[in-house]
Amino acid sequence: MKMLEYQAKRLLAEYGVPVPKGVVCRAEGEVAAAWQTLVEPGALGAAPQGLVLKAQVPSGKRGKGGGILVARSAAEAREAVTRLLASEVCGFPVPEVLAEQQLPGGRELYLSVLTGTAPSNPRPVVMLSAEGGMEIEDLAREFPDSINAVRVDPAYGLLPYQARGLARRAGLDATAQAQLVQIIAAAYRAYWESDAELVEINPLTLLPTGGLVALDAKVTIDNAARHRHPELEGARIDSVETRAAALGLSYVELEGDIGLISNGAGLTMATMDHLALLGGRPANFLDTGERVLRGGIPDGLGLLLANPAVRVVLINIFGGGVRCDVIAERIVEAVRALPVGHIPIVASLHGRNDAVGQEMLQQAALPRVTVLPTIEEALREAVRLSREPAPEEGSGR
Amino acid sequence: MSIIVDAGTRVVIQGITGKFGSYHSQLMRDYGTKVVAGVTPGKGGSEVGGIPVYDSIAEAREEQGAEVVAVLVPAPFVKDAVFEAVDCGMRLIVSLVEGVPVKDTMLTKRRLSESDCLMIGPNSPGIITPGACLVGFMPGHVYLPGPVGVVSRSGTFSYQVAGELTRLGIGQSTCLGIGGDPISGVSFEDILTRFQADEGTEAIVLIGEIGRTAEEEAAAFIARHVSKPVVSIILGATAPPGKQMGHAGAIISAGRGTYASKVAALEEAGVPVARTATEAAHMVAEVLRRN
Repeated sequence: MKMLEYQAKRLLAEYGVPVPKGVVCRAEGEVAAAWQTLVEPGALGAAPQGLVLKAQVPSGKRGKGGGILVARSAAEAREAVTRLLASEVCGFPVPEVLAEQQLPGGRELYLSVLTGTAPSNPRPVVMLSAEGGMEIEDLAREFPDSINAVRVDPAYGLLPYQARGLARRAGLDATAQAQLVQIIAAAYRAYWESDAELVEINPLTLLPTGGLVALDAKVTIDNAARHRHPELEGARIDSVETRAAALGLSYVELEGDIGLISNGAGLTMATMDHLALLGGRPANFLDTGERVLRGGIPDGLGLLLANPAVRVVLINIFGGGVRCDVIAERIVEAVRALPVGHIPIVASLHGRNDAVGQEMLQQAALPRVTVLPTIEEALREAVRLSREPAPEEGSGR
Repeated sequence: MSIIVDAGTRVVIQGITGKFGSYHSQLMRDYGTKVVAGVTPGKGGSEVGGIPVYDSIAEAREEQGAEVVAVLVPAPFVKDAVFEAVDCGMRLIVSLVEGVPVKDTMLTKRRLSESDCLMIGPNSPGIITPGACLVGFMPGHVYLPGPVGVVSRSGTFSYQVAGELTRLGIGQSTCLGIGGDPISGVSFEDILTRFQADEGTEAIVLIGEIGRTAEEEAAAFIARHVSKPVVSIILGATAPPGKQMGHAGAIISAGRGTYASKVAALEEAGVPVARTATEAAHMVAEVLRRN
């Protein structure tokens, strides 16, 4: 789960990471109050120069995508918020805008904590770069010597000497260096206690007045650990992928015309690759996972039928724990219940009880369903059907 | 011959009274696995299909001589189950559950590094030595005893590869899935080492997929330490970058973990890369003929 910037900053602030003062605006009317609290003289010590208005979308490229605007007056701020709320940034609608004090620029650092997945020794890794403000991949290419990393023993957590060692190499004065040690420790605790995959503060900016502040932040939470954190909120993304995820299905839309339902991530990818080798174009990745015996087939078929690009559906199941006779029943029920129309369906059932499952599908004699004995034959048939001319309009689907 | 499990392996099922646990313990026993006990805290003294249930792994070990644990408890409880098994001195843990928090697996691996216990998974389809022992979800009838070791990140696709081998009359020594999560217990290298040492294994099939760098590391390891022929296949040639393909670990991010990178690493190590299960099986037939 990706957190939006303001959610990530709120989390980090709870752990003691300094962030700019800001207000989330969901309507243009809310920005006037934001201007008053954040910018009006006397609102804070170091007078901010204006407001930065940031579209709250789960993309790291929103700056380039026109999602960050600067306002020097209350009127400009109102106009900017109106514009952002009505726009789409990096393909996402913008229901929320973060209005933040624009702070004077200064040196930029990069700080992150992420889960290192080296197979032999997976550990949290804390990375600090004396350069910041650009993506870590670009930093690694342009300033490889600026990046220092420590690996943390998960049993003991980040030790103070490790944080001090990183901070020492950032080239800061003693006061800022001491503050950096605190920020590193806070970022690690936020990562660990929230089951994050990534906590990234970039840039971590040194203000002319001397303090460090997190100007931007990204936090991603491990989906498998969501149940432990009912308090955490993330970006709500409305897409066919997230709707599928809500049904317990892993779905990725692709550009082809062969709708695919399979069980197991590997088998699904293998089927996509094989279709491509045969000259076919998969319309999607859809792994039912363990939902295969429950809603997986009907829900999956429903998703595929809703995609107008799909011209044929291929169901490729290899039953390990699950029995093909039960899968066959699910297919028959789903095909009878859903508006399949003229879309042909090719089924390939293998593994536990496969002979029984194949026989049951044949017996059901569904007019649109073809059952083939080998996976290769099923894939070839799906590719062939995807190339057949489309039936006339109005033949119904 | 085989690696890790054989006909003598004595298995305890953690979470045996659950729907999943009771169903799969029966399937494993039907295959011939010595499922000697089950564990569900609070249900000690009962039975599931004739298998005695204990409150703890320690009792199952003491009373029934169990040495291998199959973990089938819900994901939030896997960490506790695995720590219990390690602390009791079990030899092998097969963690079959999907959706274990990565932090839990990280801590588990940390604990395992202090012991001699081996963990397969999490999110593994299990391990099978055909004709002798199944600890996991594999459909037993597609396997055949023989000389080919299969190690995979995927579950269902590895069944298909085994099925294709069997169709050509080529049996398998042992087949296992290391799991589809970002962090796994045993690595490709751990398994390759064992296949290399196993007298019953003459050739190895390695099934990888996009994401992470496990295949690149395996390729480097093969070049240095594996003299037996290896055939590979990498899944996800057509997967778009930046999208998670089902498995939590199957994602190309920031240009790492691409199909091209894995294929290049394997080919450089002298490992042919098949494009389909059928092609992989035929490549194996070919290397066995040459040996």
